[in-house]
Amino acid sequence: MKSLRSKLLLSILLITALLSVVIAPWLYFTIKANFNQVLDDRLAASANMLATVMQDYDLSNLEHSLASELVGKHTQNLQIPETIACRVTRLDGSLIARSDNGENEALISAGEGYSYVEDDEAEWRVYKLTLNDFMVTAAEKIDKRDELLSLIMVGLAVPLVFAVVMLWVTSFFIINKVFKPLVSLQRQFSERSGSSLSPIEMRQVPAEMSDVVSEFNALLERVQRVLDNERRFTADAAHELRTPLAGISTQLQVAILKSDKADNESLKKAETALKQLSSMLDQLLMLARLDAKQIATVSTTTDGLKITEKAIAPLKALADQKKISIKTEAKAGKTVNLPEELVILALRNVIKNSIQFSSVGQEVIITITDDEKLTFQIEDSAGGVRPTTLPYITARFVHDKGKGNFGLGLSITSSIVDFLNGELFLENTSQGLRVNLSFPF
Amino acid sequence: MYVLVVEDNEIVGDGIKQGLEALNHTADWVVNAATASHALMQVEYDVVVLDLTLPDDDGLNLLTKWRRKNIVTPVLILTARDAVPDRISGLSLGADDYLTKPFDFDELTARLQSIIRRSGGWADNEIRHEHISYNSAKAEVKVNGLPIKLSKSEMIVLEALLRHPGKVVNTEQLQDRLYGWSDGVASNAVAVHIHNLRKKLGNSFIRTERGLGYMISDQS
Repeated sequence: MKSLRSKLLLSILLITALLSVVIAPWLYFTIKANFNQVLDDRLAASANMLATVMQDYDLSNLEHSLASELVGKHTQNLQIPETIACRVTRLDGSLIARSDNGENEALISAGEGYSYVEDDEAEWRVYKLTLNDFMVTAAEKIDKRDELLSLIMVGLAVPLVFAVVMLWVTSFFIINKVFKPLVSLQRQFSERSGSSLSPIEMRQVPAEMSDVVSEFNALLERVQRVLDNERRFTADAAHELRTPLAGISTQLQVAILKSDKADNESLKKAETALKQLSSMLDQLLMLARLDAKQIATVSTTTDGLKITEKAIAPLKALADQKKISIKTEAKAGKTVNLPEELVILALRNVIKNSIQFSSVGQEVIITITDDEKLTFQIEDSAGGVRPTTLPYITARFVHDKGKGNFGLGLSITSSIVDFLNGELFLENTSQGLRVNLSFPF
Repeated sequence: MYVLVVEDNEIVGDGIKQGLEALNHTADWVVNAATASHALMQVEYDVVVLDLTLPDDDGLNLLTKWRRKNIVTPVLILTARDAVPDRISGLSLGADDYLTKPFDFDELTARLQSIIRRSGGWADNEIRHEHISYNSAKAEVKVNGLPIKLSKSEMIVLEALLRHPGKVVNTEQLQDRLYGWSDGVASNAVAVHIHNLRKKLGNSFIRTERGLGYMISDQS
């Protein structure tokens, strides 16, 4: 996308160039026409003046040589340039007087009034005036006229071109200066991190942009407020839901302490259900925190094997109960710096699913590699996920096999992976499910 | 053990009190910060269970005030706030442990016993004194290695004396531990329990300091 500044500069450049292209020929032709008119008038005036002078002489008795001398004397005194020629002839064509050397025969053949005549040397603009007994011809070389016209045109064009160039240069500086606040605004935007909600500095914002920027700042403030509310809601929800749960749980445990064996059974079932509810609440709160990026990510020095061992530890009892062997194959040993608790939780949810859905005696294989990323591959033989469910299996409350499962574990894993810029990949194998979890370190 | 439970939620507070009592402990339950501070000034508790959200003050604020006043009674924070920064600030302000709601009652009692153990410098739940050993987790008393049966009240009196060897424990303190801070009690109840304990543990085990209270020697 082109910048406004470049667009404006280009527009000014094009408009001035276009105007110059249109104005220059118009000026040229207008000036040329007026200029020629003025020179023609001058030519006619010269001829008329000469005719008036010549009328005072008795031309019938005037010898040619005398007349020539007469005129020549005048013309010499006048120092008429070679580019102008005057000639007085009788009606029969015999010469009475001339200003030139007389070789310019073309002037004789010119018609009455204005005309263009060409001889061997040059082209002439000629004015011929015929009176009762003589003719006066005044001529001027065209190339001299053109030379003059060129000088006028150059005299006009130089300041015009200079003005256009100066307009471009000053436009460039003025536009740069005018756009400076916008450029600084653009820099502020480009240097912001995606998650930043700090307001835009209003100091240098031009009046035209101030509404947009203040609206944007107001929007940021609203977003911040919404996030704060969400954060508060998460904390409040934690308290408001956990406290009554704690109440029920405490009373239930006291009842179990005080009850006889028969009641104990039902109370313990109620306690199990309560623990499930409590675990679901924990998972929902964890998701809410991940969504609101409210997780404190304290990176610790760890390695893939240590993470796996910590992830498996609380699942040992469940695995032993179902006689499921968890095999860990570590092709890794690098020390990595990662928020260990989050990675452990992400990994544990996957392993827990594998154990839960595996049949008695099956095995879960965990392979750890750390070439470019720390990768955990968890493979089970539990039959996999239905192909229709697989694309949505990480969505919240989506589960394939129910039973003690809320469909939140993989959602949390997926959110943690996103949060840590990692990757999660699930695929069905011939035996079960293969999950790949990788984290950049 | 003698526990002060500071919890504004009735169901939770009542549950903890009843649960602790069912496990042969004594608990006083208060519902606000002001009463908690008052109780702590009056009575010597082994440990405090403190909720962070109280109607008249924030729990962490209250804990800071206590520590400033040099009240060193161990405190376990029991709260629904489970974010790591909350835990860190709780522990750095002087709490001895942190447990989030909902909690497992066995875990709560285990943690309370662990706090008391740490604060008294005991390595395990068993206190041995002369020929007597007392296991607070199992609520078991042995004389010369043989278990004997004690009533709940006798167990409480014995524990109070064993936890303060060489120090006089007065009747009022023993009454508080037996019946709680606000409960009324017959004036000779403590004397009756001491009498019964002497019969079961030996006459010379508990000494009477006239006008002051009772004590056991500090030689274990």
